[in-house]
Amino acid sequence: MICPRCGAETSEMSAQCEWCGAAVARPAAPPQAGPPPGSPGMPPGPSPGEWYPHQGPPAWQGGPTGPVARPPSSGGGGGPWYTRPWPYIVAIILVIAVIGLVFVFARGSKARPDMVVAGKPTLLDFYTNT
Amino acid sequence: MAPIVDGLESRYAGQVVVKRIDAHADPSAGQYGVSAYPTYIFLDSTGAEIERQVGGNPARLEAGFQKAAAAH
Repeated sequence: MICPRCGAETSEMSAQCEWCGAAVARPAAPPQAGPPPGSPGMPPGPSPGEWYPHQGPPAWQGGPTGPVARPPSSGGGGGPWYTRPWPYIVAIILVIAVIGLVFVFARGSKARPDMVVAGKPTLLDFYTNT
Repeated sequence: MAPIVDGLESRYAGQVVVKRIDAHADPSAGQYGVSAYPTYIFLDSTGAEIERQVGGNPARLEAGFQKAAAAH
């Protein structure tokens, strides 16, 4: 800064001229570019030149960031799938259906229509002469 | 057991047909997994097995005839 009284250059941090002792007015801080107060974006923080205590770990350490709001689920009921009864009911029904199909198929595969006489219930009498 | 089977065959004539199979001459005994004699296998009209009996038991055999006749 230049002393308005003696014209000497003074230190930026000094409020008085180091040569003549005259008060030196510091120029006002230039307006900073950025969003106007109250606009969304940066939260209101300390004014320039202020410092505030650090809260939480630095961002590059990946510390906890607090609760995160989840999007609303479209299925309703909330919670993961394994907390609902429907998956288990469907699984049980599928297992029963598969067992039934296997049973029906096994029984059908054993059917021997060629052993049936005259299309009527038939008794196969397996005997030996010995 | 042959006379018992003959009697039941006559009683359930028209409802249950008896097919006598010599296990030593017919390979179907092996196809049905028959290993002891006598063995009685009741089939419904489609050829599906209804009941299988191993050994001679007249009461059980008659029950098998009734079951087979009902499956007609």
